[in-house]
Amino acid sequence: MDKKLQKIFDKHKEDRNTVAILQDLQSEYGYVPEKECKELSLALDISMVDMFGVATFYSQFKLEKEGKYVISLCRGTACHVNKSESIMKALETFLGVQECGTTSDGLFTLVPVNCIGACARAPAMMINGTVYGSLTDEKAIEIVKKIKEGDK
Amino acid sequence: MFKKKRCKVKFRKEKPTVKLVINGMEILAYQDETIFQAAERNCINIPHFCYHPRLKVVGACRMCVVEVEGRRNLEASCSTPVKEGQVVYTHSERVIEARRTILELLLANHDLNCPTCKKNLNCKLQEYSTDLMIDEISYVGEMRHNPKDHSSVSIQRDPDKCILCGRCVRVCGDVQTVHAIGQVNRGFYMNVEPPFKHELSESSCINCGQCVVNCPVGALTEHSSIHEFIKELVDKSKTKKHFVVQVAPSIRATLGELFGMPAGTPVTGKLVTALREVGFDMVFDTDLAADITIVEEATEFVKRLKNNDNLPMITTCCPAWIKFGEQFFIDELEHMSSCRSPQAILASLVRTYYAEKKGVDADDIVLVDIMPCTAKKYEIQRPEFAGDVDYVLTTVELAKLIKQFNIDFEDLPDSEFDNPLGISSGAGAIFGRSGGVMEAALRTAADFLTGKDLKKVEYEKVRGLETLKEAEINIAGHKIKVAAVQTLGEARKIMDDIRAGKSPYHFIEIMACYGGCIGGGGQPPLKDDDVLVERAGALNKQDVKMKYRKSHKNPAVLEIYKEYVGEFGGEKAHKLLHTKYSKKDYI
Repeated sequence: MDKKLQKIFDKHKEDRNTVAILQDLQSEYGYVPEKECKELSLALDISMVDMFGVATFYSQFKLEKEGKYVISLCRGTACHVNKSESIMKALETFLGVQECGTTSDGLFTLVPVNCIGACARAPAMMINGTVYGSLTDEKAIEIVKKIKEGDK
Repeated sequence: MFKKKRCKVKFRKEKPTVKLVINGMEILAYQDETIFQAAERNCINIPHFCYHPRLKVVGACRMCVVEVEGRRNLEASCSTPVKEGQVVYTHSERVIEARRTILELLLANHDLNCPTCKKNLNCKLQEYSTDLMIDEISYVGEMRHNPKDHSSVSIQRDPDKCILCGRCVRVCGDVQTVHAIGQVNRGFYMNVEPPFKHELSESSCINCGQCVVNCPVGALTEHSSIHEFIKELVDKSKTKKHFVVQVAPSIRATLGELFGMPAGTPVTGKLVTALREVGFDMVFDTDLAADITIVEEATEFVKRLKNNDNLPMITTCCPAWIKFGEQFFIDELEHMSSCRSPQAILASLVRTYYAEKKGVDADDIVLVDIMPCTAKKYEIQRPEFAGDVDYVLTTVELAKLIKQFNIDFEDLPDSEFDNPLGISSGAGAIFGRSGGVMEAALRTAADFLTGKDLKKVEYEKVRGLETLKEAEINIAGHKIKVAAVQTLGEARKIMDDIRAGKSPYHFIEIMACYGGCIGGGGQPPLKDDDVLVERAGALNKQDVKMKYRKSHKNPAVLEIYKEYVGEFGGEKAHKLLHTKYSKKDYI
């Protein structure tokens, strides 16, 4: 067991709380990794299929490694009436991925979210914690382009 | 025709104390019962999908709803306790309307290709839809389209037929503690599947087939090889192949049910005749191989007992249990007997002893095994036995085979198994029920230890439907503690004790399925535990009727050893009749 995993194991060996374990796995690895899940499943005597059932029940859990930048595009009511659907399509075309997909360079993951609480600035998206509001298709692409260039 | 037994009201030892009224009839119920249990015990049938008497109640399917006076909503009878003075209606207009809606909703998202479904005419969804005359489905919407999983040699999954009752998940997880499958995703996208999108063949599935026998619809079925077999059989005249079949001990006690006979009707003679009519040249009895398993296992046990070597020794007739051990208790495999299962022993003898005796090329033999479970399909694929057996058919598949040949099974005359692999003892007969292998082994081990021909042949303490049955037996100065274990959940506890070094036993029988092979994953579905009692009773009656009741007294066994194998537990016996175990990986 590697150090990161050992820490999670030690923390949960008493409570064996599946949701908390999955949350810790995700915050440590960026997603819920299968190999580590199996190790914990054996060590904590929680079945893999129970862990997987919980991980697929809640949308907060990711089963694939996410990109360095996670674009959470708001698809809530206010953003929807302000044409966030069109922004989604524009970003999909620009990045060459589908909803929830990650670009092949591992840089961006595009996920629709229900509401990020920025309705006044709709349509909005959040990239790694920073909110960008009053978007248009072009503006959204411009922001992503800049991040990409800045990462080089 | 065969008379069906009428349902009789069943009682426990104590008196029922709760009075309630169901459908205008006064019913006495026990304090801890649910409405469903009280009704069923009093012969009032309520349709249901997710309820099973030996599984945790989840109240998921809502098919068993009933109207309870004074309650606003309909109640799921499987999860509603009885109460003094309760007035219940199980088939009121409102109840029936609710059940019709449930069925319509299930059918609206169900792959309705019934004639091509393996569970056709044996499906609860079909049965209830027919009973409640669902002639139209008023709900239209998106339907599931999930890939089928045919990766396992034992079990096939068709998620589009699943009604999400969760019985398979509960039997796999709670009863067997295997956790190969679970409910994954949510809402419309929910599915029953192995973790992390793996196929069943990569999962921890031990192939026992309890999910198959407990699936009310066609979502989980046996991986059938019936068509490939028939193809080879009809080419018989061209290929000059020699067709041999062996029949496991439990089949004769269960097959009749699939032809409308009451549970526990022995059909040995008809079964043999039917197999001849299908076209087999030789019909052999796995009971004989069971006798050989016993002489080898008893020899091994006596040796281990005298040397105090890797005790407790554990029986290895059940391939589901073997894989379970090889996955979860890899550090304790030295406790397993090295004896092959009866299926593997007979197969080995057919390819060697029989082929030589008959003067046929072993490669020209097509060997088919009629077995009570899907794990036997996995067993023949193990590299240790590669090529010995060509096809394994379950009891359910055998009934289909007989029907395909349009044989009137009920009217068949009786006939006998063929020689030289057709004579068996009573000890071989009881292999099909839990505790049977232990009892058979004790009969032989006791004689071996004392050097006498003991009168005692019945060991009642290892019989019955408890998941753990224990006995202490004094033989020739040895105090021998034995246990007969059924279900792998119980086996896990026993194995944990062995691992912790605190197991009190010398000899343990482990069977994966509740009831033993008569409750196997390839058997007809069980209505209740009484069916298991009847099936076990049929095997016990066969045992009592036998001329020889101890394996080592079976003249056919003695002849095979004299002519071919040599000594019990000898070098040739080890080569032909024993095997090895190794770690099995799973995701």
